[in-house]
Amino acid sequence: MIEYEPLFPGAAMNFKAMASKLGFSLEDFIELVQLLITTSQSELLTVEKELAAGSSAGVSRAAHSIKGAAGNLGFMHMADLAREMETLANQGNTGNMDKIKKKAAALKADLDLIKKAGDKGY
Amino acid sequence: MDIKHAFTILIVDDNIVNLKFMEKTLEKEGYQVITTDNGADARTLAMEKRPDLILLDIQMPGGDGFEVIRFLKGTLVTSTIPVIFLTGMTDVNSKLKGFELGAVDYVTKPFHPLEVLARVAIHLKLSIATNSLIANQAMRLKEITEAQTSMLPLPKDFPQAKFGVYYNALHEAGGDFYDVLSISDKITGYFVADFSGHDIKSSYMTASIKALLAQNSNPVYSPLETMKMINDVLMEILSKNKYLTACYARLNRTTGNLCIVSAGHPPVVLVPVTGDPQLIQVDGDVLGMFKDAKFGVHRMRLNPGDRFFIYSDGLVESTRQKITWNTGAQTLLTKFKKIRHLPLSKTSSALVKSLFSGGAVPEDDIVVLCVEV
Repeated sequence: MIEYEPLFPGAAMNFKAMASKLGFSLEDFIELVQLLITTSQSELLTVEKELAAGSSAGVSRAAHSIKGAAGNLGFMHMADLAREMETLANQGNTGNMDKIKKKAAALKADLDLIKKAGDKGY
Repeated sequence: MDIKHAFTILIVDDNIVNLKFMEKTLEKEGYQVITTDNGADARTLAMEKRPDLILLDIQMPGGDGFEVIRFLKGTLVTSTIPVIFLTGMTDVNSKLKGFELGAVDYVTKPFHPLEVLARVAIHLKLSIATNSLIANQAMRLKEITEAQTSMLPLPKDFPQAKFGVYYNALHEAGGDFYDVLSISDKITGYFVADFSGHDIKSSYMTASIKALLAQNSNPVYSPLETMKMINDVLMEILSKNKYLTACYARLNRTTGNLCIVSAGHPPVVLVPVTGDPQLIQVDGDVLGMFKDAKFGVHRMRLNPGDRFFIYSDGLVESTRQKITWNTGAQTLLTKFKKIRHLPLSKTSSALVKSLFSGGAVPEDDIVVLCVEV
């Protein structure tokens, strides 16, 4: 089992630097981050429902969506988790369900960290 | 101060974060942005708004990006809009499929705003250059059409030749051609030709044919000799598999003698003052194809007031209805009853109108030359 490091180990989340890297103002970047949080939370709920229903296709779709959005904004750790969830789901192996759940939990933890950072106005 | 036209970009992505991300990226650089999260709306918006460029996600509900681009490229009003794929897919086959369907480029997720902006800018520049090239070519084709038309003699300029004409080129570079030559006070030559193909080369060739006719039509050469000399020159200058059908009729108004030379051309229709219209069927090889071409010759004496019609196959031939000019010409005879007494200036167009009155549409260039003795 792969254990994940915290989202930004040893460093505070620097939204200003991330925004600057993408050429966005901090204001615009925070707006995008808030949108990412909202949509990803919704997608994680979908993952839970689809896992309960045993639908790997639904899990794959939701993970794919999170992967693209997080990756574009520079949250690569979160994007990697989503990519791994998508890969596991695409394997269509019922034995992967637990692994997906763990990764979803790690992803949720990432989201919480991002949310907290946003609340602090980073 | 003038405000320059802002380019409009349509972004299609089912991921709301990505959609907003791209929207912000492009708007801050002055682009007008339209967004949608599904393929069905993408089709409608593309047709209604005619964006300058489309950024299109591959995986979407309501039809994936491949289906959307297939629709866009197959629809006249959207077919030239450059489409850039937004894709999380990294496999070569997906990219190749995108290019095959008409995409100009792709951006792989996660994408960097500066990369997207650079790709959008370069494809807009290419699009501008292409549109400018198309506009330039359209202008040149228009010039060719004008030049071609200016070479065609009008009845008012040659009243002694007593002819009426209908001429319609379906394309900018027409494949049909006619000329009227004053060989002497009382002798006039009438020439109608139809080039194989309607390309630009054909339109340039009409100038050569006109020059060859002028050089080789005189009282010393018989009409057959004129045609043979033109054929010899065409053999040298026409490209392989290029040829023309032609009919050259020379009328002597003093004697009433008419000589018709046919180079694989539809039959002349004779409409005498008294008697029924008749086809003057003359077989012969086409022009510009064979070194020792044999052209059909028919000589006859006409009376004052008699009329004859020389026309191109577009008047009687139909590919859709599988009618060749051989069979089409037979039905032509029935049309002369109503038009035979019309003024010369109206006869040719009346003939065309009567043939295409039942909803039929011309499939080829048409020239109809009506001559009165």
